[in-house]
Amino acid sequence: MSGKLQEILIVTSDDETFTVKVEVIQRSAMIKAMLEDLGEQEGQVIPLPNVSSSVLTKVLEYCEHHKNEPLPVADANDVDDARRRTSEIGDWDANQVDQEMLFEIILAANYLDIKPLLDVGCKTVANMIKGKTPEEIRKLFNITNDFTPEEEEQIRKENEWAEE
Amino acid sequence: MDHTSDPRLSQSRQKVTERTLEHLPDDVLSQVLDRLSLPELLSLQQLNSSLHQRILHLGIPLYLSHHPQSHLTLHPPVQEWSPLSLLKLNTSIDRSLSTHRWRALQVGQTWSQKVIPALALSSDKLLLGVGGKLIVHPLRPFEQARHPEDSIEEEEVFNSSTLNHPDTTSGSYEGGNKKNNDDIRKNNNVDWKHDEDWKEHDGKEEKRSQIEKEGPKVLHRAIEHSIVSSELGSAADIIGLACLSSEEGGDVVVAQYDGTIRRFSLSSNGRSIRHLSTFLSPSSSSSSSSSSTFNTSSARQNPNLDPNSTVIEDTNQHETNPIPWRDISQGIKNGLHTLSHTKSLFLTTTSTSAHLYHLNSPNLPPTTYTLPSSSSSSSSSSTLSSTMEDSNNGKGEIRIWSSLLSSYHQSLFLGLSTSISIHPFSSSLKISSSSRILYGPEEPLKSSAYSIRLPPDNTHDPNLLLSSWYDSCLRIHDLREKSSGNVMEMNDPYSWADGSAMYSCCWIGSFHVAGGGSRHGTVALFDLRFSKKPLSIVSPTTSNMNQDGIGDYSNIHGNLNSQSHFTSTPGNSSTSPSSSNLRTITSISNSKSSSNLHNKSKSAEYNENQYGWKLKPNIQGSFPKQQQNSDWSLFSPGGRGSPVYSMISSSGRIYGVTEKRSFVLSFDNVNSTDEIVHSSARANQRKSIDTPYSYRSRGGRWGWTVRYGEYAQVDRSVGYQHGDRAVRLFESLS
Repeated sequence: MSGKLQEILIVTSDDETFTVKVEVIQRSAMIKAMLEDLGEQEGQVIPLPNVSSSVLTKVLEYCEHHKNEPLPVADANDVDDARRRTSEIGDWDANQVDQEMLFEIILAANYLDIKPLLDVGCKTVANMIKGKTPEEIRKLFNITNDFTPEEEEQIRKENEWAEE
Repeated sequence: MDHTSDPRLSQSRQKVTERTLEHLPDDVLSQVLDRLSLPELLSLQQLNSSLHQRILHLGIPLYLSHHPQSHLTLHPPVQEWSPLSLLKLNTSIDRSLSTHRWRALQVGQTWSQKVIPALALSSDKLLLGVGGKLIVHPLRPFEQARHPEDSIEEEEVFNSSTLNHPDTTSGSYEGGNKKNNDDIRKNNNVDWKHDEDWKEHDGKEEKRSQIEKEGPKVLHRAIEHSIVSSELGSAADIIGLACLSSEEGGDVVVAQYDGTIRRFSLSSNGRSIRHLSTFLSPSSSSSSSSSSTFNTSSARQNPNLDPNSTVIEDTNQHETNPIPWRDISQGIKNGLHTLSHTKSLFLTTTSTSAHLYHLNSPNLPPTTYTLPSSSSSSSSSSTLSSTMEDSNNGKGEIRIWSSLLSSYHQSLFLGLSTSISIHPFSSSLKISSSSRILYGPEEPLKSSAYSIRLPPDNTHDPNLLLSSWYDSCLRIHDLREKSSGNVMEMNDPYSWADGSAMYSCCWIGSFHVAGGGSRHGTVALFDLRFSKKPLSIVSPTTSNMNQDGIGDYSNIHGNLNSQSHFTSTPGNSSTSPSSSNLRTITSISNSKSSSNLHNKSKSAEYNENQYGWKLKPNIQGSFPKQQQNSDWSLFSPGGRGSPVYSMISSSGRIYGVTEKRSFVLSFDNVNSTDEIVHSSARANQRKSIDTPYSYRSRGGRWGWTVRYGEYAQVDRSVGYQHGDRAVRLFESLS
């Protein structure tokens, strides 16, 4: 990215227009690639039909917060690494978001290709699961149990091998 | 925001349902699952039917891909296993290794003389080179008890396998198994209704599985082939074996101490053997002396062919080349000590030189690398064992103790008396004399590397090199690091105090390595997740570490696309910062990624800090809390006083050899010993058994006792935990 292009416009699914700094939004590998393809024009408009304004606000907060960190290197072999690198859930990440928003952010991070954010999101979900009983997890994620009690018992029994 | 539309998702599905765990797309869900332990994964499976399916088809295969194990000897072949069954087996193996649950059995009879045996394993046989004999133990699926109408077939199968051994009784085989087999079948046929589609493709397998149990194959009674004339004595002992094909039967290359290297074809049942070719010796073109007298034998000519052997059909007659290696004047220097191989090449070493051959070109002379000679030596000892100990008493010249050939690294690894040296070779097999050196103990200390192993079957990153050393340590070097030091060092404190060397090593299970000791037939087992010094394994986050107390070693399972670097001057692997902050790792990795010489990704995980090298895993442990020091050792059957010369592992079993017997250690938690070694291949019953009973810390010696009667008749072995202050012996399953 050269210094020329400073800001672009992003239109969200609910037709809100955001003016964002390139240095911030280029955390999104998808948008970064898009800008490279489109060439550098001031006032470039990018529509994001999959991302709502409330989610984009959160995503931009993240990007703003992490803008000074080096960009992940685009490398197919590096996917695992990228995941490992994001190790801690930082200040921003500790921000409370409700569960619906969490999944929205994860999906948006996946769509926009912001690996570290996707990573933090997935890690948060994994941490929510840890140490809970199936019933607690069901409750937490509002998952409907469609097993009959017999089936459930059967599956529980089948999983006994994994318990010490 | 509610009217957002996602073109990737089907129209009919409401957006609102997508913002839940169960509706995450696979690529995202897999990133969540990646971070879960096995029990957590299985908890998710219990939530509802959709998650049940997704864990089965996504979560478990994913978990397996992060925790692979080597399964050369599995029946049916590992790729035919359902992910769930394989996961169960792997988990049970790892658990047995952690909880000290094992079975130890001698394989075949005790040999009449002490030897340094050679060992090789393929999918259908265990090969032993014992003196001049090639011993073939067939590996076959474990046969379950069947209905009476099937018994005729069973009889046939059984008899054909033991045609050469009419003294075997089939009665003991059948009777011994029935009870257990019923249990096994019960366990085996647990109805995994969602697992069924993994078996859809094999209607016929259904039938077969009633006969042959899924699991590691069983060792059967050996067929022995005398392929070296007994007249030659130990000078012509087999020093190395290479199984060339993992399929049934297949060829085997046999190397002898006297320099003879021959290729044989073994029939699929192991009963007949055919000589295919003899490889040219390295110096045959430039042979100057032709004296063919042996120091130990009266052989005059062509000692390769045993006149008494009836099994060898010699189809290759170029035995007329005098083999100058047999020249006594060249002494031990020219005796072959090691053999290692890849799919297309093999490597032999003498004490001072390495020779690289094409497997399919016996008539091409090998390319040779000779150690830069420091001085002339007058070692005249004729056996490896007698020189193994004394080379380290200082002043001796540098010599080669062990070797490893790697096609992945396109290099040969030589275990020297001072270090490991790595020599790349070209496609024309030209061996580079410039080498990379890896040290054992920290300089200025030096030690000898007696055994070198890369992880089998991509079970770990192929840049992790395991080695066993004279100074009683196992070490792991990471070839991606520019440092010549190790990243992990392990020893059994009791062997160490005893001054015992580690003669052999292997990788086993998902997280363990094993080392074979030089004195008491001991096999030490180290859990790579818990090893303390100098490398400690940390979890991705401190919070995880606190939660579970352990990290997962899964990042050792490598990125196979990454290129290794083998330059003697590795350029830009500047791991500069010395902080344990994980953020720092990020920046290191980025600066590294820009360097094209270096491995792209993996070195990012290492971070030098004041504690040494830290290895950062990607996901966390799959086991509940465990003690920090979970390392332990066991005494292999009948191993008193003997080194464990060589070990190979597969499917949770370690096959090993001591000076008078071969043994198998089983960690796969089978119901009975018949599932490990067939009754016909078991050693004769003993009247007494040597068993260690105590350890005297002063003087560092094991006390042994002889036990008689019933105790001696059951195969068992004892073990002890390294962390214990006073040795507490525990026993294997019997």
